[in-house]
This record gives sequence, C-alpha cells and structure tokens, in this order.
Amino acid sequence: MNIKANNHDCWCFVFVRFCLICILIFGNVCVFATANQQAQMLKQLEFESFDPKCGNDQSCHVWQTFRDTHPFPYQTFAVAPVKDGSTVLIISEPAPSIPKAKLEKLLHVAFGSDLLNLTNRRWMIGADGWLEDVVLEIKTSTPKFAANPENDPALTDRVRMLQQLLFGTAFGGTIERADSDYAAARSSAPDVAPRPLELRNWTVGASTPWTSLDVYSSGSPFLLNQLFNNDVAGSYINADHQLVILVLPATVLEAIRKDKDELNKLQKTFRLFAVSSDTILGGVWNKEGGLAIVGRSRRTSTAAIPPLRFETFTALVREQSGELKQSYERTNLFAGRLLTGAYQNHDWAPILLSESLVNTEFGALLNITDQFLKSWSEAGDVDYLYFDYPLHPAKGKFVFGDEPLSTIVKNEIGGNEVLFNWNTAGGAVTFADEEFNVLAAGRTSALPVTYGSDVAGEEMQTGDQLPKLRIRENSAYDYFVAQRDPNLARVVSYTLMYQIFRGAQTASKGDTQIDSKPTLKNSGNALLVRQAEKFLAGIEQRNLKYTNAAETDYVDHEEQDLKRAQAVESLLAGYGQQDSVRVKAMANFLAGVDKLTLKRNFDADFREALTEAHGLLLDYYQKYGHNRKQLAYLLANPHGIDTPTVREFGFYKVFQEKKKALLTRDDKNQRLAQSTENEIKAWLENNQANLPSSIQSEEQLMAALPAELREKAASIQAEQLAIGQANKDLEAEAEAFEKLTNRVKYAMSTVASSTQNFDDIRTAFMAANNTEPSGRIKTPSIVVSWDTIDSDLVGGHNLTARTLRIETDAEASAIALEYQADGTPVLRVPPSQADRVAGQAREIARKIEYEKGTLEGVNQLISKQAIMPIRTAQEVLGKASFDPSTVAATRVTTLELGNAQMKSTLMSSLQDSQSFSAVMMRNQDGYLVGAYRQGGAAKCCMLFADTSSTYEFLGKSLKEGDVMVLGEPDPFVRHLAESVAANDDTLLATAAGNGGSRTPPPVIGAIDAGSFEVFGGGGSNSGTGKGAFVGKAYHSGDGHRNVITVLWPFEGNQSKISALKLRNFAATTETTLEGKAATKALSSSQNPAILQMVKWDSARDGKPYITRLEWTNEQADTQVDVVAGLDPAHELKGRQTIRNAVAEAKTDSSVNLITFQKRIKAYIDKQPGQSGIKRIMTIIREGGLHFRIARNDAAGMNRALN
Amino acid sequence: MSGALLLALPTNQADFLARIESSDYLRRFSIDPKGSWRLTYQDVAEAWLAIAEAASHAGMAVFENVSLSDLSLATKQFQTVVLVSHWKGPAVLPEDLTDKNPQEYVAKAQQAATASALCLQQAFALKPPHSMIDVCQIMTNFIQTTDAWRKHHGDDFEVAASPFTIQSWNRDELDSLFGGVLMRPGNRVEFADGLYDKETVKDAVDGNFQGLLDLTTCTSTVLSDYLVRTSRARYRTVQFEKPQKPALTGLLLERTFHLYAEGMSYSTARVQAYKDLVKVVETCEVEAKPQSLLARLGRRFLNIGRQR
Repeated sequence: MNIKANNHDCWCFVFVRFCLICILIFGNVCVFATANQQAQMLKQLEFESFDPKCGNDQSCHVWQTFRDTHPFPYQTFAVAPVKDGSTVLIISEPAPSIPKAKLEKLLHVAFGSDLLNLTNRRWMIGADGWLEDVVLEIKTSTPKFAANPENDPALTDRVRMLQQLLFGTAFGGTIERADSDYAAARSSAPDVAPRPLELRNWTVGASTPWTSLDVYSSGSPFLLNQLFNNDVAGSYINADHQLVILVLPATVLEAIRKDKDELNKLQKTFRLFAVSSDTILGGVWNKEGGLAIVGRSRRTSTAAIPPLRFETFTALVREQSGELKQSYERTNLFAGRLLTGAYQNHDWAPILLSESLVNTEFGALLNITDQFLKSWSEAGDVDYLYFDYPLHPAKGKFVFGDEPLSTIVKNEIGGNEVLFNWNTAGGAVTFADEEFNVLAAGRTSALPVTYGSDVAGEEMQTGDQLPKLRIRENSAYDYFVAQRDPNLARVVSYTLMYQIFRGAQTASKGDTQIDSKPTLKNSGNALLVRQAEKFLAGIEQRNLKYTNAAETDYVDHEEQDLKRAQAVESLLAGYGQQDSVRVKAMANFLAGVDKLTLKRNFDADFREALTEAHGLLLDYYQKYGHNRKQLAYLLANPHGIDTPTVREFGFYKVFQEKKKALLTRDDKNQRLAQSTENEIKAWLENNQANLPSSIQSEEQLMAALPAELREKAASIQAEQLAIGQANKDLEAEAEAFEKLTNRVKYAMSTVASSTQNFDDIRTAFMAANNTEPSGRIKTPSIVVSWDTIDSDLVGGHNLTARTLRIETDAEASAIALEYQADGTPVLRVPPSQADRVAGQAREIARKIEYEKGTLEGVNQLISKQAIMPIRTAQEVLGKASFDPSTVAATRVTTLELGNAQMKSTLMSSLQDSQSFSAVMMRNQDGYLVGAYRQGGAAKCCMLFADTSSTYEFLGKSLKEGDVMVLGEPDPFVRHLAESVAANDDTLLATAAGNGGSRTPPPVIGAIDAGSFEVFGGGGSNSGTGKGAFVGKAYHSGDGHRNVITVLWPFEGNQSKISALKLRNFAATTETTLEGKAATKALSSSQNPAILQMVKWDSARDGKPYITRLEWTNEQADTQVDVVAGLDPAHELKGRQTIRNAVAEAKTDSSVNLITFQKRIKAYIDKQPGQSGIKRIMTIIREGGLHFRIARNDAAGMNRALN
Repeated sequence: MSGALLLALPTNQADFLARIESSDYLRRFSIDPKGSWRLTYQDVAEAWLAIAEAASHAGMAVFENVSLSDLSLATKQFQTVVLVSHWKGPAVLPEDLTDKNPQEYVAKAQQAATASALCLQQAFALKPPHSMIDVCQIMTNFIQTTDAWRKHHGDDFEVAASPFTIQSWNRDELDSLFGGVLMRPGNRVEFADGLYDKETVKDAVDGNFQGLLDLTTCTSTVLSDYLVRTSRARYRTVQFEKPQKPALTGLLLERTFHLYAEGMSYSTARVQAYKDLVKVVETCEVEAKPQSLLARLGRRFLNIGRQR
C-alpha cells in the first residue's frame, strides 16, 4: 500500500476507472452524468491563464494582448495605438546593459512631456517566475500616425536611440505591432545540418573572404585566419551573404573570460551578429583557441526568431561547468501533491537549474521547452501553471497522436515511471584536423530526446537499453525537429554556443582563469535541507504524526473511490437497465460510506509505512554512517548530489578514494606491462635466431620465454584480473548504495507525503527564493502542474559541453574509438578515411553518443556509405536574402535624427538653457548643423558644409557665449575647441579614436562623462516635449567608452554637470571658501595665457585687469582669476569697483565659488553704466580642474557682464 | 610608432619625365620637360626626398609613386598615413574641355533641365560662345557663383559654406552635366595611376581605419570634409584650405616627422611644427632680410630644439 499520493493525480485515474464501470453498468445516462462530473472536476484542476488584472487601464490591456501571444521570453520593441489616440510602447525584457532606474530616467528624458505613463509590468511564467517589460503610454506626435505609430519618425528616432543604448547599436532594430499574433513564428526555425567539412570549407577556405558587418560598405574582406590573428573581435558576412560569423581571436577570448568589462565591450559586435543570423550552425576554432561562431544569415524575420541575446552570450562565454542542468525535482522529499493551499490538488516540485542559468533567458527557455517535451509527449494530458503556448499542437497532433507516452510505456514495457529528457547525445559533432576544430550541429531546430522507464520494478532504463523506447525516442526527435519551433531552436543555438566555447577553451593553451563566480546563496534549498533533517530525526524517533489533510485525501480520493465503485457494482448487480430510482439510491448509499473503516485502514497503513521507513533508515545509517545532514542533502536539496556536503563525505568520498586507488594501481600495472613488453621485445630480438620455427601462437611464445619474464608477465596478467574484479566489486558497491538510497528515498517520501504540510514547505521555499534579480527575468523556483496520468514523470535537460570528437591522426592505421578522462569519446581516423567519416559524422555521433554504439557499429555505418560530397552553402542553407547594406540604413552611429526631429532637438536644447549661444549636432548625412541665437531669438538651423564655415561659426558663437556639441566623440570636440581657440591654419579636424598617447590639454568647459549618463533634455523646461537630449548618450560600439562632450559654462548647469558625475564639480564648487585668500593684481602681460584662453579682445572687451585670489586648504588649492575689462575712459573707476567687489565678496564667510562670482556681479550691478567695467568673468583652477564661470547671457543681456 | 608616407608625385627625373603627359599636376611642365625639371621640379623632388628621409628616420614606411590601392593597404596596416599629392580643384582649365566645338556645350546644356543647366543656358543665351575661350569663361563664371541655393540640405536650413566649397559643388554640377564626353572632371586627387574623386577615395580607405590621414595636398578641405563626414569622424584628417607650396610643405612635414620621431603624437607634432615655423618666421622678420629666406628659414626651423 502506497500512502504517498502519487506524484501525479492518481485519484483522477481512479475516478476515470469508476466512470468506466459506470459506463458499463448504466449505459448512456451514466455516461452523460459522468462526463459532466468529469468535466467539472477537470475544470477545478485546469489552470487559468495569467490575468494581470488590467481593469480599465488601456495600456495594460495592450500589453496583455501582446503577452498573450508572446508568453515566453521575447525581447523586442512593440507598439500599438489605444483608443484615446495615444500610443503604447512596450519594451519587452529590456537588455540589462542599462540598470532599471537609469533606463527609467532615460525614458523620461527621451520622451519628455510626451510620456504620459510608464509602468514596469511582470508576466508570470510559473508560480514565482516572471518576465518584466517596460510599458509606456506616449502621446502620438501627429494624428497622421495615430493608427500606425510604428511609422511615426519621431517615435522611431527615439526607439533607435534606445536600441543603441540597450544593444550597442540600432542595426536591424525594428518596431513590431503589439497587437500582431505569433503565427509567423510557427514552423519558422530552420532545420539545417551542414556537415563538419562543409562548415570548414565555407569558413576557413582560402577563397572565403569575410567583410565586417560593422563597416560593411567600406570594409575590406579578410580570410578567417587573418581575423583570428587580428586581436579584435568582429562580426562578418561572407561574399554571397550565406553565412555570418562572430570572430573571437584567442587573445580576445582570454580577455573577455577574465574581465567582464572587456566582455561588455562586445555588446555591439554580438548584436550585429545576432541581428544578421537566425540560427547557429556551429563553430570553428584553431589550435591557439581563436574561434568563430558560425550562423546562417537571417532568412527569418526577427519577429519570428528574435536575435540571440548578448546577456545570454555573456553567461555562456564564461561558463566553466561541463554540464548545464534543468529538471523538475519530482523525487524531492517534499515534492508531490498539494492537499491544501492556493494550488490544492496540484503537484509541485522544486526546480533544479544550474546556477548560471538562474534568472536568465536560457534558464527560462529550458523550463518552457521541458514542458513542451513532457506535455506534448503525453498528448497534452500534463499541464503546467501559465503554460499557454500559442503554438501548442492541435488535439491529436501531439508526439504520439493522442496517445500519451506513459500509456505506451505501460503497455509496451510495463513501467510506471517515465523519464523525459532533452540532451546533447549526438546532437553535434566536432571534427578536428591539424589546423582547425569544427563543431557542426546535427539538427538546428531541436535537441535530441531521451525517454526512459522503470522496467517491471527495476531501475530506470533508457532507449539505448530498450529498443521499443528507442523507436519512440527517434520518432519524438523527428517530431520536435519537424515542429521547427523557435523556442526549441533557440535552445539548440545557445547549447551549441556553450559547446563551442567549452571546446575552444579546452583547445587553447590552458584553461583561462575566470574570476570565480560567487556561489548563489539559495536559502530555499537550505530551508528544504533543514526541514529534511528535522523529518529524518522524526523518522529516527518514530514520532511523526500524519496530517488531517493526508487522511482526508486518503479517505476521499483513494479508498473511497474504490469503495464507491464496489458499492455500485454490488448495488446494481442484476439490474441491466437504466433506473433513475436505483441511481438515487446508490448516491444515498455512497454518501453514507463508513468513513471510520477507512480511517482505521489509513492508520494501519501509515504505521506500516513509518515502520518500513524507520527500518530502512537504520539500515542506511548502519551501512553508510549516521550522517543525517548528508542524507538530508540527498533527499531534499535539488543540487544534492553536486554539493560538497554529499560528495566529500561518507560513501561518495570512500567510493572516490577507492576509485582513485584503483586507477593508480591500474596505472602502475600498465607501466609495468609496458616495460615488460619492451623487455620481451628486446629478448626476442636478441634470441630470434635461436627460437624454434614451430612457434605459432602467443602461448607457445610465452612458453619459450625465460622463466623470469614469464613470471613477470603472469603476475601482470593476474594483477590485471584482480583490478578488473576490484572494479566490478566497486561498481556493485555503488549500485547497492544507489538501490538502498532509492529505497530510502521512496520510503521517506511516502511518510513525508502524509506527515508534512507540503504547501507550507512550498510557500516557505518560494519565499526564500523571492529575491529580486538584477535583470528582467526571474526563473521560477518551483513547478506547479497537474495531469490525468497514473505514472511518475521525471526528467529535464542535460546539456553536456562535450561532443564526439573525430580527429584525423596521421599515425593511425585504422579507425579507433577512445574515451578521454572526462568521458569525451574520441574517434581517431587515418587521413585516408577522414572524408568518408566526416561525411557521416552526424550519424556516427548519434551512433556512439546516443546508441552507445561500438567501433564495430561505426565501421558498419561507414562501410555502407559512399563519401559524401561537399555541398555549397546555398545547397544546404537555401537562397540567401540578407543584405547588410540595406539593414545599415537603420544604423545610428551617433545621435542622428531626421531633419525635423533634429530641428526640434536643437531648438529645445538651446531654449532649455540660456547659457548657450549655439548648439550643434550631426545630421543623417554627416553634416554638422547648428541652432544659434540672433538678436536674442533662437534660430535654426545652419548647416555647415565644411570645416572652415564650422570654425567661423564657432569662432563667432564662442565670443557670444558657449557652444554645446551633441553626440560627437570627445576628441572631436576638443579639437574643434582647440583649433578655434588657436585660430590655426593647420585645421586639425575630427577624431574618433584617441589618435595618440598625448593627453589633450584641458579645454575650457570641455567635460567628458562616464558611460550612458543622460541628462537634461526636452521635458517640461523646454516646453517642446520632444524629448531632446541636451547631452549625448550613445555607445560608440567600437571599443571606446561612451562620452558626452559639451562646451558650456558652469553657472546654470550645475545639475547637469552633477549628473555627469565627473570630477565632482558640484561638490567642489559649492564648498565654502574658508580662510583668508591672498589677493594680487596681475597685469595682462603677466598672464597672457588667460586672456588668450578666453579670447580676450581689448578693443571690444576693455583693458584687462586680473585679480587673482588664492585659497589654500587641505583638500586643494583654489585659484580664482577675476578678469575684468575696464572701460579706458573710466579705468580708475573700474579698478576701484572691482577691488571693492572682490573685497566684499571675500568678507562673506559663507561664500563659495558660485556665490563668489554672483556677489561680484551683484556689486557691479548696483552701479549700472557707472562701474567702469565692460566685461567680467571668473576663471577657476582647483585640484586639477580648470573651468570658467560666465554669466548666463540671456537674450539681449548686456554683454559687458559676461 | 607606426605610419606611412605616401608620395604620389615623382621624386626623381626619370619618373618625372615618364609621367609628364599622364599626370594632371606634371602636365604643366610638358612644354619643356627637362628645363622644367632643372628650374622647378628638381627642388620639389628634393623636398619630397627630404621628407621621405625624415619619415624613414621616424620609423615610417615610405612609398613612392603610390596608386589608389596603396592607400587602401596603408590604411589597413598603419594608424598614421600621410598622403602627399596634388588636388585638381574646381577651376575649369581650357584643357579640361575635350570637345573643341562651343555649340556642343550649348546643346548639352539645353538638353538638361537641372538648375545648373538652366543657369548655364541663361549664360550661353546672354553671350553666345564663339570660341572655347568663351565657353571656358562662362564656365569659370558659373564656378565662381556663390549662390548656395543650388544645394539644399533639408527643410529650411541655411547653408554655411566657404567659397571654395561652393566652387567645388559647382564643378561637380558641371562635371555631371558635361563629364565623360565633353569635359575632364575636376575635384580629384592624383595618384600615380590617375585622378580619383572623393567617393572613390572614401571607398579606398580601409573600413576599419581609425587613425589619422594627413592629406597634404592643395585645398584638401573638400576631400577631407567628405571623408570625415561620411565616416562619421571615425578617423582624423589633416586638411588644408589653401594651395600648398611644396618647399614649405616639405619643411613642415620634415619638422613634423622629427617631432614624431621624438615621441610626440603625430597630430601634436603637426601643430607644433606649424607653431615652430611661425616662430621662426617672426624671428626672421625682425632680422635683416636674408638673401634666401627659405634656405635660412629651413635651416633654423629644422634645428629648433635639437642637439647640435
């Protein structure tokens, strides 16, 4: 008697049995009644779709529509109009390159007053897993685009900017309709299978040049070998546009594995590759470890197959483990049916996910595709919470039609437990020659499938052991491949990437030292272990009590159903016809079933189960030590077997030590065998002539050897046998341990299901896992499901890093199969056979890895086939349709806006701050365009056709105030400023790179900023609401950091400068100037540099009079030069004014650098027209800073006080 | 430190004589090739040799008689590339007009309906050309028209352009109207294998180049601005707004290479060389006028800051 409720709903099964009896007895009426009842019960169990409870929120409804059709990881920009004329923009799962708070700030700046509402919304993908989107409601720019906002240039400009920030480039960025369906994704994933030598030929061939996707229109083509030696990562496309590659030379690969900052620099490069490809075909790496990931150029829309994500790439490139795992831990001590709580009558289990997959896109995908496998293999009879996939197969179109695999297994094999597993066995193969390793995908649209079953109470066996299951596995693999489902294919692509990175790492000179990742603190797992320890202590003391819920469940759903069925049988015996009176009588009878009898049965069963569990536990402790904690780990921690607590103590430790000792013993014997063999050879050479010609066999030869050698050989042979036996014994020990552990597990689970409140444990486990991820995806920590199946369903993903390696070996005379220490199978092939083997590589990989085939099987396979020809890429991949030059049209290299948008941006930037006399930026054609002030009014726009007109404009504008340059590289602006200041005929213009080792001299007002800082802009101040940027926030994507460069005065811009977080301007300037300042007057000849720097024109600005104040404190020396232009007609008056102004400002104990300037000006302003001063400004040097404070010259303000 | 000096013009008499007919720059010497060499070009060639030596001393690769493909290779391999060459500007020269019948030009202008064609039609109607000199004059007048209305850059943007830029645009207009059959095009940079327009040069510069391209040619602003604009300032250029005198250009580059060899960045060296030159000129101006200013200037200039 099994008290533990089955992992899946057995009462339902019993109910169905009951119904069948009813059908037999009652005929049609009962069928009607039963179907109703069944439907009602099923309805209670069926999961409802996730309901975000949008109420009257229109934007929420748009988002819900979008997510209903895209309920799984899906990263995009999508828009749709809403009834009131506004537009909803959904940024689904924004890339984590920008922290959430910063993105929100950026969106406010970008959309300004057009932004009506911004909400972060979460779409549930399990009990506690979710996908987070940013949902914006924005004003539609004109009624013209109310119905089709995706065509609104103002919106697309902003979206491109956001794409640039989130992905490093706007290349290939699109805006989808949020209300479109997902139909285009059906059967969209390519299923292509290039052979390794084909992939090699297409990529490293001497006639295969690659052109950079980044500079496609002007880039030179390179061979892959050249790119490997280039020390620069890049994305490239081949001449006929069939393939794209992501090249990571060995030095780059080493650097990005060591340094995450280096890795992050590849964001744009990866995005170019991801946008340009729709599936990964494999990878190529050389002996030095430089690698190229090979993708098919995109034929499918990004809506069907979105670009692979950089964040997932970064996780995979640094992955160090040999296997990635995902599974629903149905055999966990506390997994099983929930008898109470929110998910009553459903099953729950903790989810095992490799640490690096937690809260990642890949982790979420593995969970979902695991559900595909189980649900679709079970003909839809298994369902999961929020598993509402729009491409769900129609009824009868499941893997085995409408027949569940568990039924097939039960009928064909007799098993009650079914294993479903996605894995990598034979899913890819690596072909290695002297120069390159080529890893080629077997199929690109789904991973291989493994099914398993317990056979008549024996241990689990899989398709390689059970031919009937193998047939099913192969049909399932074909079925899933044929689905060409984008999510299944995406898992294949990421898995291939993982295998390529690990393969290339093994091939490089040494394993890269990667910063150890902090182990995820999973307090949920710790909680389960603690609970398990407590439970085991209870078993040890036999003092556990069953819960009411368990008893009720037992009574209501198991025995009672049987009793009912028996009662129906006995009551209606002899009545062959419908009889409603009898039916009523039966119902009354059933209501009065003797529950006390059932309870007595339950008590007895429970006591029996507890006794059995207690006995097994004592047996286990006796054999393997009383280590309750270790057992608790094994029973309840999803990572149990991989934890140090399990591996480093007790049986596992002893087993490992024995195994190691055995290997050492074997090594020693092998060495001895080798030396003895050499001795025998030497002896034979020396004695060949004396040996009798009658020697025909090895035995005869041995007999002819000297006694010493003979004994030595015999002893080696005996040792070999002994080692073999010891190994067998050890394996038997392991098997015995495993068997007992499984029995203990089962017995403990049985008792746990009746004594532990699973729902309390589930709730606590979820709460412990309720930590906020840094990104936009939280993978669920538990699975909640239901089914109508009377079998246990287990399994998940096992993605191993290794693939079959086929190596050409010049010294090999025949094909040989070996296994490396890590289990990697290696097929050594003589060069003469290489072509034949390579042509069959995929089949051989399946044979060896999946079917556990032997060398003989491989040879048979090869002998049947002719040498496969090398096909062209077009023959395998079909006609290419991707053209980077057309995609490039959407590229945003800087803040390039359309003319209308640009005008709005420039004007709002100019109006936003009265400090600037002009604002400049580059337009789509590359021309610099400026807005400027004329007679106090803002004017737009002037397009500068050449450098000299730019300089002329800047020269004039700088005299009027300051000029802001948006969206240009820092060195470019520095050189503009320097060249204009120097009035230099050399006209050194433009720069993107640093161009040399020299540190540029400080330029007044030139400030460079850290990455991704966004400031100022549009918004309420400008009144234009066009979301203009007054600074630049862009990713150059060429490995240089992002910079914001602005020419502006400090005054009036403190907040912006503070926002730049550079040099801490605000803190510096707002510090009180404590202590006395030394004051001295400088003649203009004493400091011509100052005057030259500020472009002083004596005829216009007056005779310069410089007063220098110096404060010295512990932090920094502060030097302030007050430069006054004296009216020659009132020079003395002017001098006196400035002396008095400075003296007064100095006496204020609270004065700081900002208020100092204000005070001087306030003093001067008291005597308008009589101060004798034409111009005044303050130049400050402090702690290496050098900047100018100039008054905000608002429209028409007297220039004398600038 | 890595860089390349590309010399597109000959550095010796043999090359000079060999290219005198095919080169746009050298054609002017074709009436008396040997005399021109002795009296004029030999000094130019020596200036090129001097900078070649200074460049070699600075560790730079030096290429002579460079073709366009050399520019591609150089920008692929080096971060600093100095091109010394000749820019055929916007001016319409009599030899540019390949057909000697004025009516052909009038007829061609009448066939087109572009703004520039209308402008020329008007000019031809006002003063019908009787000779090729008349055609050349009308075209020169057209080139010198500084009305910016012919170039619209979107919406209502004003266009600020130097007269030289506008002349270059005008020349492009003429070339598109008459080019190919009636006219040899202008706005071209000369390489040993011919003249190339800015679009072709842009395509020749390696797509991954992010260094500095010194365009030491006369009036290189048009080419430079175009390269900078279309590359979105991916690389830096050194440009010249005015015609360059070979001897002075040579001195500046020589000084630049010396400073570059001393470890200064190329761009800084370029600026510093100019400043040094100004300083020396100022010094020379206050002294008694030397017999040969250039010779004296050169010696002083190149010795600035150097150990004697």
